Amino acid sequence: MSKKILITEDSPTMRAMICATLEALGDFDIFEAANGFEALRLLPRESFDLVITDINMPDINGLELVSFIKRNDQYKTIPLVIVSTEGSERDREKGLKLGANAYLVKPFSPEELQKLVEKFLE
Amino acid sequence: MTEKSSQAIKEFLGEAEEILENLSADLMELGETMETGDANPDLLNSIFRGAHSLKGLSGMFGFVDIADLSHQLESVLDGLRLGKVNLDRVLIDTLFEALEILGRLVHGKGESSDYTIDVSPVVKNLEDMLKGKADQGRDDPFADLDIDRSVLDVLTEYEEHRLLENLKKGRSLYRVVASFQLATFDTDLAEVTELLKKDGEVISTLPSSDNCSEDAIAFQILVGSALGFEEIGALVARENLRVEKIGHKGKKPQAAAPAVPASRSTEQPAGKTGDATASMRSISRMVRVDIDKLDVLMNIVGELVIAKGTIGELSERLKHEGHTLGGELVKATRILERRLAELQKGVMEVRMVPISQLFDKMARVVRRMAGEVGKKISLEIRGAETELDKLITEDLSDPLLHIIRNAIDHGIEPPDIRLAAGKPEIGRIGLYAMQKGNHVVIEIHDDGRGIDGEKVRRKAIDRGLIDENAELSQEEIFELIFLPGFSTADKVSELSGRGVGMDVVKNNISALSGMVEISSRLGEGTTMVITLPITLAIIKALIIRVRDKEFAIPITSVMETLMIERPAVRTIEGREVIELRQSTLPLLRLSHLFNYPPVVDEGQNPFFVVVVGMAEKRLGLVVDELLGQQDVVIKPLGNVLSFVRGFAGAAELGNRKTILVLDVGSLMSESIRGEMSLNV
Repeated sequence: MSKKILITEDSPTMRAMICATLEALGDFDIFEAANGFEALRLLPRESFDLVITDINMPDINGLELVSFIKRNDQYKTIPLVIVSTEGSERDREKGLKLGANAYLVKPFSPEELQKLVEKFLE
Repeated sequence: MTEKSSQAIKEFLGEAEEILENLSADLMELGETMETGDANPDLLNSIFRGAHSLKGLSGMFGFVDIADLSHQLESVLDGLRLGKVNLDRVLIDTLFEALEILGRLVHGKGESSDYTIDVSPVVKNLEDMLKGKADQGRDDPFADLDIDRSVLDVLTEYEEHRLLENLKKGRSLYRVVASFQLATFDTDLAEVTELLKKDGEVISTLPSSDNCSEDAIAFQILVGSALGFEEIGALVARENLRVEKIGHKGKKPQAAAPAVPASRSTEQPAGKTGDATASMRSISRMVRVDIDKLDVLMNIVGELVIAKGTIGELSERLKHEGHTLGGELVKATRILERRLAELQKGVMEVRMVPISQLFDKMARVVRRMAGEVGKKISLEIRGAETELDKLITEDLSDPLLHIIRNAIDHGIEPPDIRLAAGKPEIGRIGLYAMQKGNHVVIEIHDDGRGIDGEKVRRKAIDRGLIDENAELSQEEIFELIFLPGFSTADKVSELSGRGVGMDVVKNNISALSGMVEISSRLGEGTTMVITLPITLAIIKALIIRVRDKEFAIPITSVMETLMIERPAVRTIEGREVIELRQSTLPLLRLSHLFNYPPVVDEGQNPFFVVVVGMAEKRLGLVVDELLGQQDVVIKPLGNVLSFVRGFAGAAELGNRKTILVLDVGSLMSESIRGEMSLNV
């Protein structure tokens, strides 16, 4: 069965690019959420193998989503990668402290993302 | 990521354009709040996020120039939202300058991905804004507060700043804990946050699944508000929601009290929760579509309409000839016709966009130009939600820009002259849109110096456009402005005198089957009214015959049709008119207009008049026969025939015959000037 990946990102173009990068890597079931709310809706519906999320999003920020996932017994083992532009060092530290498994800085190369995905989906 | 498909680049450009448009609108709003004082933190954050997204995107696409500039823009905006950079006029101007260059870059990349501009001067300006505004190291400023670590841990740097700002303002902090059903949590949460925002600021919203049933989700909303504990409680009182005041350590916080007893069941009726698939379907409801694809779709619908016309005609013929299936075929065609009309309407609706997209651009122009020419101008926009075909909106951009430029450059007077004339120092430009039936009316009004009719008349005489003794009404005089090469400005200015006159404006609007009218009062101001059809492409038309040729008149312009007896026609100043319900209706004989040789019995029999109207004007077109209504697909005449006036395009009829579609707007304005003839 192909692995399920959830991408939470408010930019449609960025979402499409991440999807394309992942699709080039293998046969994944990719779910897209345009904001934190959509991610919260999707989480109980599927058993995800990886979550990729942005930080700067309206309503619910990426850190809040990380906290939700990592504090929930059902989801906390799902590997989680934060993808965001280099910005506040503190936000990045917080993300990792909250339990994010990796932090990828935009712009990233497809290889960087693919490497991380391979690492977490082994 | 360097090698990108052109499709991906297109998508990038689409999103980048959207981000820039929103940024620009938000910046305008920010500029206004600057004058009133308190900037809205949500607005600041939204502006920051726009720049942030653009930076991320352009970086991924390898557009270094856009990435560099948006990076710097983001830094300044981050400083602004964190209170490290002051909001002032210089900052706003610099931000607008950066946006303009970003806009040019994005536009340029659309033409060629190698397009670039040197962004270093504006990057430097932005850097200067940040100088000396280094972050002062802070100890944990929340150590003293009685806030749950789990809440503090998820605050971004910006949210931390907002929390401190709220404390600084002397507001109280509250934690609102609410649980909602998974099926409806987003709308429920939005309801609560909207209420809270009325009298405070929502700092953070942390979702949690603690103490919740499987199909529910809880949120901890951190709010800063000047309201008291009781008031906040009353404001958001609802089931499964409680408010807690967050106090300072050592002080006893107010007792946590549920606004409504939480003991009530969190369960909802089973039917309301919805199943998994239903929820899955409800996400990502928006699709971005290339307008070219919609054009293809529209063309197909157009072809179908023509095909339906042919089938309709054939089935009528079969029925007429007594074939048994003829009648059933006619019925089937009716059903096809209805469905086709729905399809056409559906495709049309997808193409509709609010005119605010265009008005926002104009607002930017007014803002920028007013500063450049040293005038003070306020812009009033009404009816920005009015919808118009996307393509019409695009083609309207240049004419509208020209009119606005004219209003700023020639219309509104400099502040000293205005004051001397007893007018308020700040000039006013009004930009209004409204839908009237199948038309959209756009009005551009300024309270400037107005147009000097006498000056216009003199100029027209000097240029040999009218005779020295010609007696023209005020309306006719203003119409002269639309003649090629006519300019009311004594000298050509940098702003509006770019070799483009009002004739181009008029032609552009005519090309959209619209019309433009001017009215003006010297010293009081000028109003231009543009009337446009909501949509082009497929229209219902009245097919008429003039001699042996058929023509189509868009039904939206047809007010009524009359049969007129010859004696009813009178002549005023050499022009034929009839009396219609106590008003005088000028007639235009299409056979004269098209230079057909006169026929012998002309002047004997009754004849048909099609009364057409646009805006407030009426005109009677004299035709030989009315052939009935039909859907037609208008195709443009193309570049070779672009000089031909009076026709909106060509249309194919169901019987494969191609006929010309009359452009009522231009016929009406040309007929006001008289002396018009067209060769067909």
